[in-house]
Amino acid sequence: MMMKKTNPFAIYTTLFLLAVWYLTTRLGLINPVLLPPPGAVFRRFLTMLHSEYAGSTLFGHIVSSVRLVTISFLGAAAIGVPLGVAMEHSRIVRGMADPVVEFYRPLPPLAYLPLIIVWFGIGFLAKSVLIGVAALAPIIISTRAGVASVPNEMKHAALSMGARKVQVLLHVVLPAALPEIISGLRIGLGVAWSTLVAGEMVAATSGLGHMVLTASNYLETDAVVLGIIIIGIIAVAFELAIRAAQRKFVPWKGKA
Amino acid sequence: MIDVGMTGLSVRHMSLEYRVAGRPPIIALRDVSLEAEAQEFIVVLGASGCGKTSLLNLIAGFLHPTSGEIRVGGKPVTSPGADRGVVFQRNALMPWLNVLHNVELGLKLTGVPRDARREIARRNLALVGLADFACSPIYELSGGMQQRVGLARALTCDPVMMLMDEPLGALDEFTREEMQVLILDLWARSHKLIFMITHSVEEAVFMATQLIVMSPRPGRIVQQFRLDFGRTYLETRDARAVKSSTEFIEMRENVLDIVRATTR
Repeated sequence: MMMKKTNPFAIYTTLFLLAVWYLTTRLGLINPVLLPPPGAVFRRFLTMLHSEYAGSTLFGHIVSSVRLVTISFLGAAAIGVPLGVAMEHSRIVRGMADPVVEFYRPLPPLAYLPLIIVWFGIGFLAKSVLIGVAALAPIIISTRAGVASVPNEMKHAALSMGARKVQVLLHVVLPAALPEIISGLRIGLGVAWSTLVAGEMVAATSGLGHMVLTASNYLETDAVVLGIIIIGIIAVAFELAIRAAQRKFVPWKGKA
Repeated sequence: MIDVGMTGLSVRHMSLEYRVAGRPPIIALRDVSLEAEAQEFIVVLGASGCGKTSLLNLIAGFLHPTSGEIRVGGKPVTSPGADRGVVFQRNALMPWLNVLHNVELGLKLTGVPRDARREIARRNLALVGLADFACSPIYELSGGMQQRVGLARALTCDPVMMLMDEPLGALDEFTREEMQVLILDLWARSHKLIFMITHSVEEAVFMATQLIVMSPRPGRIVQQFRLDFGRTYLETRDARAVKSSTEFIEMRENVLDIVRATTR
């Protein structure tokens, strides 16, 4: 990942959109119920810092959502990476897992949400299963691609230095596949976060998705917009964290 | 036939066939036999498709012959092992390890204690002229330096023989000549048996003590030569003089004619 200077046009566009938002609402061109002015959203932000809305303060919603997504994502990673490796190493595992993964992967999580409620109830478990299942597919697919792309020369080199098969897996295949595994985790985390609102449709009492859904039921669009902005900012923070991990753990990516 | 006994390489009546259902088998190698004593420098030359890389992979133990037998140091080859160090053309160093950690990896995996393996690795890095680069990341080295790391790594487990699969194939002309001389020096100092593949006729004639010319469809040995231009270089230290001598040029043209004839 190259460190690039911020493109000035990205800044201009952001400022332009904020200006359009401010002016259209300020000049009364748009009904504030359809699009609340920036000031109203900011006031909502300030009130929600200390007082509860939809069952919790803003901070409480953030903690609840980040915790749900983090736990679901870690679970998906703990299953997806080993399963992806096993699928590349064993014809039997590949034969068993491949049809399942390929079938559910393109399904929208909302389509199988009812089944998950029936099977896992309406608690934390159901929400984390929904989010985890959605994040699992890209992690498995990238891990498989990473393992499959390890050059034979690397494995052969280790074998002709006296390595045993399990050592080849641990000391060659896994580190060599790490760049693609991290790419898969990056996509998986993005998918997990974007499945959040669907997950929090299930009898949630807190969380950013729950907050947005509640606000939309009461047509309180300032809270809706606030929730969207916070969800977006946290997504960017996740993305930056994974890119930092990429630079730290796979500095050779694109150079070897 | 020479008795290679407990130290050399012996390949006897070896064939390799690939069978695909419903098609006639593809014969990658047919009845290949060769014998070499310890401390020889075998170079295999041939057009692409002549099976030279298959032959190397069989000796390394990465492939299994359909019939025939391979012995290295008296022991039959059944799988890859630390008695045969391999140098690849590319892609074989671990980019997540620095130079020293790459070179010591084999010893680490076989349980050699840290100080002992560091010492061996540093000594082998010095042999290839990379003593000052022990802590550099692999991806910051030039192609020629990466191949030197590969050589040092292949030496580290102290193998009976070294197998080199077009080790200089991806290098530019100048680096290539430098590396030829480095490998000859390494060979003279380490007293290893070397088995090297190349598609450069000049390189083959310059380096080999035993030159093997192979021909494609089916892969087989068509001619073997005993040469000593490499030893002449080691005595005179003048590669240009060796390569421009009349005997060298005659042999080079002779070998070139044979290789050309195999591709017709």
